[in-house]
Amino acid sequence: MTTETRIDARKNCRGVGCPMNLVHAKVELAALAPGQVLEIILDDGAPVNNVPASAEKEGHTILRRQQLEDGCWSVLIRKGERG
Amino acid sequence: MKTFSQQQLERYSRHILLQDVGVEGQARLGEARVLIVGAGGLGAPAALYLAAAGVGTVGIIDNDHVDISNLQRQVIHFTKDIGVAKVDSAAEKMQAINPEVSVRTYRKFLAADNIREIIRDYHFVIDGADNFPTKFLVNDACVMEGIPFSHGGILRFDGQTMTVLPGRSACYRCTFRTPPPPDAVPTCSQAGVLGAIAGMLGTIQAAEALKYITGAGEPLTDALLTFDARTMNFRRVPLRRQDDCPVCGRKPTITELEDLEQAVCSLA
Repeated sequence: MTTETRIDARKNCRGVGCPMNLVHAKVELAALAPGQVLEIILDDGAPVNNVPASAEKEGHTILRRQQLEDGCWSVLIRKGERG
Repeated sequence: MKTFSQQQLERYSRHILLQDVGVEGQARLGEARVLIVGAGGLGAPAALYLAAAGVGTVGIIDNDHVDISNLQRQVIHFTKDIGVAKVDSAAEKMQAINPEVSVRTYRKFLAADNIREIIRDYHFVIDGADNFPTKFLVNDACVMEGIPFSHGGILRFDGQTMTVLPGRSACYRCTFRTPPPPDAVPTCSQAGVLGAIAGMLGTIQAAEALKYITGAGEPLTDALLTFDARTMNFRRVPLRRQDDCPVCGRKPTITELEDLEQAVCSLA
């Protein structure tokens, strides 16, 4: 059983390295209200290891990480209250 | 909210990555106007860092031209600039670092009859003046206009700085009531200064301006930060607002600005 998460913004960061992928994540999150959800597509390896951890440190919540067919990751980030 | 171009995101990425600055803080920098008093030892690094940071408008005031003896510490001026107005030399470098920054130059002396009008248009002032009368003038005018500023001074191996939020924290005059007698402090051309401490102090002032604008951290208020580069000891002297301060106290006795006479030293 799955619950559909409403996605409020999407950002494709395929091919975008660190730290610009985090910069893009922050830009997208800044435009959202607390509680809204960003889906960001990140490369495998350092990007998917680093960006979600950094987002969590800034008070956001990682709702889901899912590897896609091309090896990239779809990560759902819910904006935190202080983000 | 302001949208950034891809190039701006890359240029300012190291700011945006900071949680205390972020996209919002960088946008505030772009809207901010900061005035630098003096394009000398302190103003040089401050101007470079403010331009690099993307402060929207940087004003710089100085009546002097570049002299070869400035180049040992005033790092915004190059050998080719000898003889050029300091404000023009500084503006050229700021534009070269960051063409997005709007630079306003004032080639004049800051004086009692023009300072309030000039500073009124700015959100923050960096005092990099090289003489006590101007430092007191900047303090008094900023208090009267309610404009936050960073005081800074250097001599030999020593530096001192404090940030003033008028009406909220100790001002320069709460701490130092009047300028020292003209012969009490050696003229700077006699005393000398280690060039790199101009960078140390002016960079602290730039950081204070950036912190104030972005809201990051805590300003260096109610404290005088001093250092002695011979030992590289830093000291933070606590200060308090004084009820009897002649400019920001309960019953101010200084309500109008006046110019004080003092030999100008060419240190800062």
